[in-house]
Amino acid sequence: MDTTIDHIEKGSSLGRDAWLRLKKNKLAMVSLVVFIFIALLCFIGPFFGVQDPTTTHLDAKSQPPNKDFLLGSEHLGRDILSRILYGGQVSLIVGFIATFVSLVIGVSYGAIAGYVGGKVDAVMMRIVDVLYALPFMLIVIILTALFSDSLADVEILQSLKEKSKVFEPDLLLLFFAIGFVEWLTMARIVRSQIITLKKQEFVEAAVSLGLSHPRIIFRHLIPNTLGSIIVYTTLTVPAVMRLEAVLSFLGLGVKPPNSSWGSLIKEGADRMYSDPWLLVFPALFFSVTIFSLNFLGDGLRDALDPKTSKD
Amino acid sequence: MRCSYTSFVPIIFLALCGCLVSCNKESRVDWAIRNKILLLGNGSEPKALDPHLVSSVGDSNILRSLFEGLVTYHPTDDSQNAPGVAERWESNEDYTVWTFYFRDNAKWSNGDPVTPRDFVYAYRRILSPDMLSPYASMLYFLKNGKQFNEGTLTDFSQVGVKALDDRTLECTLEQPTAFFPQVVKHTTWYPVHPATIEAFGKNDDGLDPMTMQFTLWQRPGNHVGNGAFKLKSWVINKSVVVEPNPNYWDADQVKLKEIRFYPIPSEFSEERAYRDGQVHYTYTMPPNMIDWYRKNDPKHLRLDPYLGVYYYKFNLNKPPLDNPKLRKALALAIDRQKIVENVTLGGQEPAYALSPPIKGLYQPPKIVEYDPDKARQLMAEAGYPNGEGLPRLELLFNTQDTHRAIAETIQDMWKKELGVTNIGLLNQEWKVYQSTLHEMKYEIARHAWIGDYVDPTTFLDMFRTGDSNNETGWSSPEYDQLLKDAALAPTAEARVQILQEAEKILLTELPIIPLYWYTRTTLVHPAMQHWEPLLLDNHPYKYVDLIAN
Repeated sequence: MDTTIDHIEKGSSLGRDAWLRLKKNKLAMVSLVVFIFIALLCFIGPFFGVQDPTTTHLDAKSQPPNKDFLLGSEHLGRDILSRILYGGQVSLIVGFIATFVSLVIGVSYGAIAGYVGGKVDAVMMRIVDVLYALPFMLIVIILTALFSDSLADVEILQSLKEKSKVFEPDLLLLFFAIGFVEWLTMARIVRSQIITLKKQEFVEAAVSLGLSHPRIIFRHLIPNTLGSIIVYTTLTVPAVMRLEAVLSFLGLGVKPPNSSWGSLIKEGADRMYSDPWLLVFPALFFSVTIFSLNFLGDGLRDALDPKTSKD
Repeated sequence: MRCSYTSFVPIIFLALCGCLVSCNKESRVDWAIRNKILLLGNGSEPKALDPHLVSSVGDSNILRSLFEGLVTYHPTDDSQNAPGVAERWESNEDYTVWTFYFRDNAKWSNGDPVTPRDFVYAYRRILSPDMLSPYASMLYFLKNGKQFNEGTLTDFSQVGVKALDDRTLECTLEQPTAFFPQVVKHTTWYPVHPATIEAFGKNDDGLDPMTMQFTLWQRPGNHVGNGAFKLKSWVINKSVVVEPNPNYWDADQVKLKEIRFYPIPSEFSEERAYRDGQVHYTYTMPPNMIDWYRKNDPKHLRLDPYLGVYYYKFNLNKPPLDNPKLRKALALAIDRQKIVENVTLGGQEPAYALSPPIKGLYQPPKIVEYDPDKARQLMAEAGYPNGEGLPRLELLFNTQDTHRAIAETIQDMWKKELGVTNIGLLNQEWKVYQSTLHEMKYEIARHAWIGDYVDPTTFLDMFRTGDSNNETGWSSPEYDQLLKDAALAPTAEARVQILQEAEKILLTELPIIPLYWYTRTTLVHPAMQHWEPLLLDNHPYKYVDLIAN
């Protein structure tokens, strides 16, 4: 008897439960490993003797994979492998910073609108509607144009730029600008979830216990919406990477001669008829990353759902 | 749901039908050849269909079908002249006064006769300061043309153009110009229909109807021209369609039933459109496909000589670019041969001077060469040994893949040869890029110039003090004087010598880095007849025919 009581009393946190459930999902675990592997490859790989991604070798241009260029060389003779790895740094960071920004803004905005309701909700959501109507590409362009001069004076960014190969202050600005326009859908999703949840008993219980509003929102309501937030987040990451590619092509994103996965795929798609490997390898890295993020997101949604019965 | 095989039969049948239909369907170019419709890829969306507002090559390709100048382009040789609105022309002894005699049957597309007064009106319009025409400097050949355009002279009757009677136009020039008939072939010298311009330019603000810029006269139905073709439709970002003009004096010569100009800004999309049988002709050609066509489809690939130069220009108003040693170091560190062999790939010539050599006419001085040791030495003399201490410089180019590839290569060459690491690359959309250049807000910029007529002055005149295409802040009184002297030179040989002297000054001070001389690399459908290689690539459409083979 005693042992059973001990067992029951031993609490287990939401996070720990989730991790246990996630571990049982094979696909999600494989995806997690693959994703970590790719991320390590991009961030640590360049320290292990890959070529400089911007040095041209005009005598060895457009070569299919061989022993000098493991994944081939492009039209100016630059090594595709190192361009993919360095480009991956940009793409992964833009994917995560921009998504994080959109997540923070979207979730808090949506949660507050949904929880408070009434006139506040109406006003807040009409603002979202107005922002929706604006062509968001234009907003990103305006934001980058507006702040790029003032950002150039920030000293930390300047020193960052000198240390790093790929980061320019413009790029950091771009991450935030994309995040600033990507939060709208997130806000709508979270708001609708909160509206259905706030009528439920556990919220009434929390209110009658006299908990503060922020605590109710962030401690009780948002964890219940995690499922849809995570699914949408995994969709936002690739969308953000794609947007970065488009902006790079317009000259607002990563500046040549640096690369990102998006810009490599764009270059490769243009030349796929004569040099198919220029498209195949960057696309492979991009799609494997996105697939693993999606599977991982799926797994996380199941794992994090507080309503899933404990077994 | 139960799924029987019989339910699939109609679907399979439909699929087969679809395949049969699509397999038998003739391609778009074949359909167009049968109907004598010429489909041309033509770069970017035209800015206007008004000869006084355009300056790009693509726009002038369209205008050449809609208008005709006093003299017009020869179908096989750009240094020759063919009679246009004028059936003959003559000059006085020192080539300063030219008289053009009009043909009787030159008509506008609405049936009105084309008169010398229409030309006087047109030249007044393009030179008017209010018109803000980007290319008015072409008319500076006329006496007092420059003064009128700059607003220092307001009386147009003092400008050197006069309608002597209903058939004769007289042009008095600023300086002797033996090649003047070549000049008047250019877009900027086209006439416009005064009644149309006036009617659509009417406004309540009391402004001169003549100088209203983007009025409705350019719309299909309103547009009046005097070329072999007239405007049928213009759908933004889709196409400009022209059809034969029945009132054209040489209408019997015209063989095509229609020409469609497609704005396709990406060279890659254009090549795909060609391979897919969507167009007869591409405006550009992606370098990576040149080899492919050489091997697999050589009869479609055309590499023709083309009178043009690709170069980088410096903004001399921005230190440290005012330092000639730095400019020279940057110029000498570029291996042009490597660029044309590996990046542009179209058989271009590495440029050691601004003006390309013109056979039998002009040979530019050989001054700019690849010399990395000298470059490093100059770099040290300029105060930047191994590139140390050089502030960040932005290299500007308009958004196109080849421009970017060239910029990336040169950036890397400067890094390898001179140790210059902080060159930023900046690309801008074509229209933004043009205004950045014009407002001189750049540091180093890519630029190219295609000759307007077959003579070295079409290149050299750009760098005169204050020329609207100079855009570098470079100015040399000596250079200006030599160009003036050249016009007055007694013989052609003496003129060439003086021009070479002038070009030497330009190449010693190097406000520009010449990179390569163009070849025209395009895809041309074998059915296109009378599309001969032309030095200026100004094809007169009235001779062109489509014959299936």
